[in-house]
This record gives sequence, C-alpha cells and structure tokens, in this order.
Amino acid sequence: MDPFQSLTQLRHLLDSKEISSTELCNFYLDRIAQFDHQINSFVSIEPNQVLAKAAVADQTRADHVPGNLFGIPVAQKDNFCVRGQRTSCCSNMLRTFIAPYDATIVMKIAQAGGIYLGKTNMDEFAMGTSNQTSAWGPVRNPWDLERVPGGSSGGSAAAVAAGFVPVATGSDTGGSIRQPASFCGVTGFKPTYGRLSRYGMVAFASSLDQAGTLTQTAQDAALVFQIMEGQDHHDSTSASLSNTRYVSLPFPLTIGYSASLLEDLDSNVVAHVEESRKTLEQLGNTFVDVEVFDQNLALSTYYIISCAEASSNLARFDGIRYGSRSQSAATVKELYEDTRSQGFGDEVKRRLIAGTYFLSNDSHENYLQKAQKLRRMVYELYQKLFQEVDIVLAPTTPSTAFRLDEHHDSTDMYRHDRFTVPANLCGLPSISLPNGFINGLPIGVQLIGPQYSDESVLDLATRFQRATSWHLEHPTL
Amino acid sequence: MVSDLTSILKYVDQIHNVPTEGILPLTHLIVPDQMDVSDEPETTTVNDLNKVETKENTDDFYVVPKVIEP
Repeated sequence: MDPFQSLTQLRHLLDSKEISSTELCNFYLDRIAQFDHQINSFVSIEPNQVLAKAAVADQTRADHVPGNLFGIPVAQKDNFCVRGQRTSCCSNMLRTFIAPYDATIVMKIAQAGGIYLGKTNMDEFAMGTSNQTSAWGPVRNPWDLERVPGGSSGGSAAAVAAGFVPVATGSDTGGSIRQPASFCGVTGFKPTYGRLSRYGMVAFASSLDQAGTLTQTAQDAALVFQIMEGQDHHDSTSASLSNTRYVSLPFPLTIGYSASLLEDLDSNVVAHVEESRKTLEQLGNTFVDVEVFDQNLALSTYYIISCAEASSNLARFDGIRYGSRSQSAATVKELYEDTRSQGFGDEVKRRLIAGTYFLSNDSHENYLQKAQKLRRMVYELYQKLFQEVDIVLAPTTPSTAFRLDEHHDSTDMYRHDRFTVPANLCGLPSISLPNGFINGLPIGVQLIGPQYSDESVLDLATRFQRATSWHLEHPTL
Repeated sequence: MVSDLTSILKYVDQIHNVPTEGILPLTHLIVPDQMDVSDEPETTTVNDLNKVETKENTDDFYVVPKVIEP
C-alpha cells in the first residue's frame, strides 16, 4: 500500500471495502514500528487501543453514515489533551500528566470517525524551531536524518512526511505548523485566529496560539478544517462565522508580492518563490507589488509578546496547581524553585525569564506595551494591504532544513520564523505548500489571506497543487 | 543562559527605533462573541483520571504541601 495517500484516496479505499480500518491502522503501525526509531516523531502510541477502535469502526461501518474521517488514523501533537492519554508537551514538567478530558478538536475528530493514533513529538511547550528542545529527544527530518524537521510541530510534520499517518494536528504560535511543513515537504495550514477552538490545547501565548493541521495536500487540510472549525463555548476567543465576518474571495485573485522579502535570501529560495509566482499567474491570478512590515521588527514584536504571555501562562506549573512536584524541597520557596528548575528545559527557561522581565514594572511600558503598539501597526498595515490585494505570497522559511548541530545562538534560530510571525500577530489564515527542492531538501511557500478567508486560501492552495507536483514527492526511508 | 538572554534583549531592542506615539496597544485580535450557553448545571466532578494525577487525595480533594509558612 502507498503510505502517502490523501484522505480522499483513503476514504475511497475504505468506502469501496478494498481495505478495512484495521488493515489501514495495522499498516501505519507497522511502518512506525519499522522506521520511527530513526526519526522519533511519535512520543506515545498504544497499538492495542488503536486496533480496538479500528475493529469497532469496521464492525459499525454498515450501521452508520460514516463521517469523513471514519476509520482513518489521526495523530495529535503532544500539547492536545486526549482523555486518558499522557499529554506532556514534551516536557519533564508534565511527564506524568494524563489528560482527564478531550480537547474540542480531538473530540470533533473522534466524532467524525477519526481514530486517535498517538501523540507526536514537539519542542517543549511548543517553544522552538527545530524540535530539539523536546524532553523526549530531537526529531529527525525524514529527508535527511542529520537535519531538523523544524518546530515546534516537528513530530507531526515528520510523521506525515514519512507516511506514518495521513494527518496530524499541530499548533502555530509564530510559524510552528508552517515552518516544519516547509522543512519536511508537507502541507501546513494555520487557520484564522478564532476559527478553531483552543480548549484543551496547552497554552503557550494565548493571543497568538492557533491549532491547525499537517497533511499531504491542501484538499486534505480543507477536509479536516471543515470538521474541526466552529465556535466553542469553552473558548471565549473562538469566533462565530457570521455573514459579516466570512470572507469569500472570487477567483481569479489579486496577489500581493513583496520583492523586499527576498533581498537577503539564497538565490535558490528566490528562484522557487518566483516559480510559484509564475504558476499562480498561469492560473489566471494577477500580481501586485506590495510593501510589507519590516520582518525583523515584526519578529522582535512577536518575541516580546509571546515570551510575556508564556511567562504568565506557564506560571501555573509550580508543582502545586500543575506540574511534577519536586521531592527535594524543604521550604515553599524551594518547592517553587526546584519544581520549575527541574521541570523546564533551557529554551523554556530562557523565554520565561525574558518574558518575566518584559512584564516587570520597570520594563512593561518599554517592552510589552511598545510591542503591542507595534503589533497594531503590523495589523493595520495588513488590513490596508488586504484592501488592495486578496492574498499575499511569501516564502515560508529563509532556507531548507538546517543540520542538528548548526545553530547555537538563540536569536539566530529565531530568525527562521521571520516570514511566518506576521500571520500570527494579525490572526491571519496562512498555508505553507511544498514548492521545490534545494540539494534534495524540500522547501515551502506561503499563501496568507485576510481574516476569515480560510476557505479561499485553501481553494487557491488546492489549485496550486493541481498545477504542481512538489507535494507528491516523498522521502525514501 | 546569560549570554543568550543578552543577545535576545539586544535583538528586540530595535523596537525602540520606531516612534509609536498615539498608537493604542493591540492586546486582542477579536472582540469575543456573545455566546448563549444553556443555564443548566454540568457534571464536572473529579473523576478517576484526575485522581491519577496526585499521589495523595481524600474524597474529592487533593492533598498539597503546606504553602503558607508562619
């Protein structure tokens, strides 16, 4: 069986009874058992539970009108609560945490018949761009095992790229779905902020966090998005899709393109973005040159806000309210200090210390409030931009996947997010699509739309993939 | 750790080069929608899975270390 089949293809195989759900799940489980020891994309998997659910799906198929995911395995990033399963955020702090309830997204996937396959590896608490900060060890890129898969949803991207699962969830605070999608040659979709419930997704930076998917195709992303989206009374920041909000962009589109984004990029990356532009032009779309916000300023703004919000969100992990309690402490102060010192890894500590500084009385106005003002400037610029154009085309990453030992300086690594953070600062839907290879490694390009234009972004992405075949290339394991 | 933090602060300090007088901070992306939720009690009792999380519990309560010192 081809491990890289799309959801539509799998749906057809199941509906025509060419395969059963049990056979399908067994196939993926065998593949994971055979190859994942070299990639490390899964951190927990319960084959017996998976097969038990698959057997139920096979038995009940005749009695039900099957949902779109009926009998199809789906992996969950390790920051989504799945009832009865360890949800560790790949941190020692939550090493033993068993989620007592399902995240809304997990529940919706289950209601559509999806079978929970297992938890995917990630950067600790979703803080990282290389999946090297995980307490369960780094994930390796299926295209080159000496390279990173990107992060923080590196396990999900690597699992889909390796053909271990047809769809995996991810979360995207500053590019954590799109950047690994680019590095692993898969499709990564971050919807509009508010379209998907964040209930049951462990918080990193609440005004930026958004759930999404990693899939083989944009059509698959659209199918799963349709299942997962919707307002949720458990999440006050989830949005209802009223007529006044919904944005439908009639095809062909006017697409904004900024040459300034490409100025300091490798010529091979530029060539692939240019080629994608030509493909979209050949489909009938018109291109307009636009000016976008300075990427380094947007990145600085993002880091101040995300670290400050993380400092506040992760304060709950004190060993009393949440988190693995230190056993060595003699006093209350030691209990807090030891729990957090032992529970968090270096990258999380770095961001929490920086965030706490940005929130402090002396720095609040100079850093956090200043960054929030800059955020409004970015937001208003994009609002204005989308009065002139329908969609913006931009690189996803400045390079292909880097080597595991390549970056030692934090800010050097952070700069890999500079093309992805604006969509988070403004809550925009954005998708990364494979658009070429450089020295045998995949790279992606982004389509960014106005808020609530998710369906139109997915439609254009699907048209792009009908005209290209980069998403049909797969690594050999 | 210290050199990393210094490097982060040095990098983000570029925000001070941009004038922002008169601009209101943006803290939330959407105005929360009014949601109608039926005014009925829901069962949110502590279940067995919650109890797995703590070594010590009594009835529906968890035992935590003494956190107020004299």
